[in-house]
Amino acid sequence: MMDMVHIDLLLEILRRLPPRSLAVSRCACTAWRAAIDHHRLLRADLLPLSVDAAVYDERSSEEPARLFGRPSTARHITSNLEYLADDRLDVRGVQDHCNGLFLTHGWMDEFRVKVVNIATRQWAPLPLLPCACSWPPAMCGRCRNNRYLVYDPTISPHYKVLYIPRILADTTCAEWPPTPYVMYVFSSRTDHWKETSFVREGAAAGTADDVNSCSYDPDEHMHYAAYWQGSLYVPSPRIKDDFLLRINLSSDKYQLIKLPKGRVESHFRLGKSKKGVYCVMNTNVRCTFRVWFLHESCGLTD
Amino acid sequence: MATREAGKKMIMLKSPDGMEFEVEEAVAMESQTIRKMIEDDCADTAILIPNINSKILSRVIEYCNKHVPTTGATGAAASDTVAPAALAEDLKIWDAEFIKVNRATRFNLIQAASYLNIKGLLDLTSQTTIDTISDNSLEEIRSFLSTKNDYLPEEEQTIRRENQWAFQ
Repeated sequence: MMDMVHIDLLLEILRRLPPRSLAVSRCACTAWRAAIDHHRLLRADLLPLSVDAAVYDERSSEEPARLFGRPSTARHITSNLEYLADDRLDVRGVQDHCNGLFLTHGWMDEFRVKVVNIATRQWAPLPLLPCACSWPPAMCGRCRNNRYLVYDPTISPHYKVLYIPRILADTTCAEWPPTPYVMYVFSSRTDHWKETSFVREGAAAGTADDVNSCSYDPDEHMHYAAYWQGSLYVPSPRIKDDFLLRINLSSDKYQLIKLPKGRVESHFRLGKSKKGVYCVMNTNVRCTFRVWFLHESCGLTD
Repeated sequence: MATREAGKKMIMLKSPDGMEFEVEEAVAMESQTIRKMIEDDCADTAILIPNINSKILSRVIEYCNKHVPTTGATGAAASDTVAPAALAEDLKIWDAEFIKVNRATRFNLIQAASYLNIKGLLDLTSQTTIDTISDNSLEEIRSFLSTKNDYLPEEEQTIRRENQWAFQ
C-alpha cells in the first residue's frame, strides 16, 4: 500500500507532473486521489480546455483578427488588442495563435512581437532572434515571419515559439526540406532562443532550387499552423505539390504530409478539432469548401 | 573537509550519526532553513541537521559548494573571464553527473532538499524522478507510488469520467 509517511514528499515530486498526467494519476488509488484533491494539485477549474470562441482572421485585409463566439464569451474576452499598443495608431496584427495565446506584432513597429493571453490580457515580449541582416527588423523576413506558437496548458504552463527558416544559406542542389532542418525554438521557461536541429523521417519533396523557383520571397510568411498532440503542422513552400511539415518538438524529428490536390488559388487553412488536424480548401464553386481530415496512422488525408 | 580561509565565516554542520562538516557560511546559506537559523542567531556553535545522515549531508554540501554564487575577490575574477551562459551550461553538466545516483539515494536527497529548503536541489532531484516515469501511464504512476488499485470497477470509471479529457 502507499507509503503515507512520505506523502508530502510524493506530493512535492509529483506536483511537477503535467496536468494531464496528474489527472490520470487520480485513478491510481483512493489515498492518492484524496491527497491530490486535498492539496488542490489539479486545477480542475481551468481544465479541460473548452472551445469558447474561434479566431477569424481576414488575411487579405489589414483588419485585426476577430473572435467568433457566443455573446457571453465576447463580453469577457476580446480580440481587440488596443491595450498592447504603445501608441494609439499601433493596431496589432495576429501572426499566429494556439490554445488561447496570440502572437502579435504592431503594424507601425512590426518587430515588437508579443505573446498575449487574450483571456487574462497578460502579455510578454518575444525577444528578437539574433539576425545577421542589416535591414530594419520590420523589413526582414527572417526577423518578422514564420514564427509559430506552441502551447498546451494540459502539458505545461510554458509556451514555445518556433521559427522555421524557409531557406538555408547552402542551397546548391540540396534536398528540400533539408535534414537536419535547423530551426529556432524560443522557450518561455528559459526566455531564450535555442538553435535546434530536426531530423527528417521519410523522403524529401524536392530540391532547394525548386523552392527558389516557386517563391520570390523565401521567408514569406506561411500562415495557418495547427498544434496537435505534441506536433506542430505547418505548410511548406510549394514545390510540385502542397505539403505539410509535421514537427515533433519532443523527439526533434519531422515528417512530410502531402496535402490533397484540387485547391483553387492560394486558399487553404489548417485547423484542429477533437478529431485531429484538418485542412479546409475552397473549391471553384463559390462559397463551397471541402474539409479534409488527417488520419495520423497512415499519414494520408481523406 | 573545508579549511578556514581568512575573512570567510565558517559554520559547523552536524549529522545525527556524529559527523561534523565545516562549511563556509555562504555555502550553508544555500539552504533557506539554515539561512533562517543563522539570521536568527541560532547558529553560534554547530547546527544539528536531524534525519539526514552523513552520506547524504556530504552530497548536499557538495551541491551547495558548486551552486553558491561566486562573490568576493577571487570569485569576481573567475566570473569575469567566463561568460554567464557558459557557466550555466557547465553547472547543467555538473548537475547531470551529480544526480546519477540510485533511487534510494535520490529519495534521500529529495527529503534533505525539502527539509533544508534548497530549491535548486529539490527541482533537480524531483524533476529527475519525474523523468523516470517515462510515459506517465497509470500503471507506471501506481508502481512509482508503490500502491495498488483499491477502487471498485465502477468507482474507477466514475473517477475516469471526471477527467475524461486526460485519457483521450
